[in-house]
Amino acid sequence: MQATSAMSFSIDHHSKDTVVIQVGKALDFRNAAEFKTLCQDEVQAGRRNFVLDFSETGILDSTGLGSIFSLYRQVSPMGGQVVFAAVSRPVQVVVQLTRTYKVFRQYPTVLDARNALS
Amino acid sequence: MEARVLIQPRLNLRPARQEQAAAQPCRIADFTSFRDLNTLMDDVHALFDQWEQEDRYAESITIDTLMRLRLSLHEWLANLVQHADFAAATPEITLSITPGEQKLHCSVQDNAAFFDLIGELGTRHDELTPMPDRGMGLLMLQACTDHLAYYPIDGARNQLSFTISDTDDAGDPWLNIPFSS
Repeated sequence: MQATSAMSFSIDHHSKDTVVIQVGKALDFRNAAEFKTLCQDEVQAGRRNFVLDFSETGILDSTGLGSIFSLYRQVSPMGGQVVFAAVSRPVQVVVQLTRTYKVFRQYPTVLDARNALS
Repeated sequence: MEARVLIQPRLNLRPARQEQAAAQPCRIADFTSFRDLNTLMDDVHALFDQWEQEDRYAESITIDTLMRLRLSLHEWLANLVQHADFAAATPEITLSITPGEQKLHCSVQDNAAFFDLIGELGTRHDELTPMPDRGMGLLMLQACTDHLAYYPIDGARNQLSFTISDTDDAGDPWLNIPFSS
C-alpha cells in the first residue's frame, strides 16, 4: 500500500484496482480541476474503483460534484465504481439535495468501503 | 436592533460589535461586507464556522438548514467570483441575514453587472443533462430556497434575496441530478 499526497487531496493506493482519495476540507470550484486531473491519472494507471473519503470535508459544491460525475462517467463503462465513505454532514446535505445517493453507495468508514470493493 | 459589521478580508473575523451582537438574542440582522474576491469564499466559510460553533441561529433553524444556507450562499458567491462582471469597480458584496420563525431571510447585494437570474434558471433547467460537469450551482441554490429573486436596487447595485426554512422540504423541487433528463 502506498500513500501519496497530491495538491489538497491524499491518495491511498489500496490495490491495483482500487484507490482511496481523502477529499480533505473542500471539493469545490477552486480545486475541482485538480481533482479531475488526479482522477484521470489514476484511471490511466489502471484504477477502476474509487473510494472517496469525505470524513474531513466541509464543502462540496456543484462543481465538485460535477468532477465526481466526470469520474463516474469514466469508470462505470469499465465496470468500475465510485463510492463514498465517512460522509460528513455538509456532504450529506448535497447528496440528499441532488439525490446522488441513487448512484454513489455510501459506507460508514473507508475500511467498510474497501472491503465492499474487494 | 441592528448589528452592522464590516469585515476586511484577512483581518479579524470577529470584530467587537459582532461579538456584542452574538451575546444577545438572535432576532437581529447580521450585515457583513466583503471586497476581495480572492478571499471571499474563505471569509464566508469562516463566518459560517463561527456561527455553527456558537449556535448563532439555533433559535430559528436546525443545523442542517444552516448547512443548506451555507451551500446556497457558496453557490451564489461562487457564481459571482467566476462569472460576474464588476467592470472597473472594486467588488463590494454585502450579506444580510435576518432570523425569523423557523426560517432565515437572506439577501446578498453586489455591484456587478445585472443578469436575468430567473431566465438563466429556466435555461439551466432546459439544458440540464444527467450527471453534468457544470450548470448545477444556480439550480441547487433554487432547490434550497424559497422566494428566490434577483433584481437591481439602484443604478449600480443588485440584490439577491431568498428565504430558507426548516419546513420547505415537503413538495420542494429537490433536484434529481443523476436522472435529470
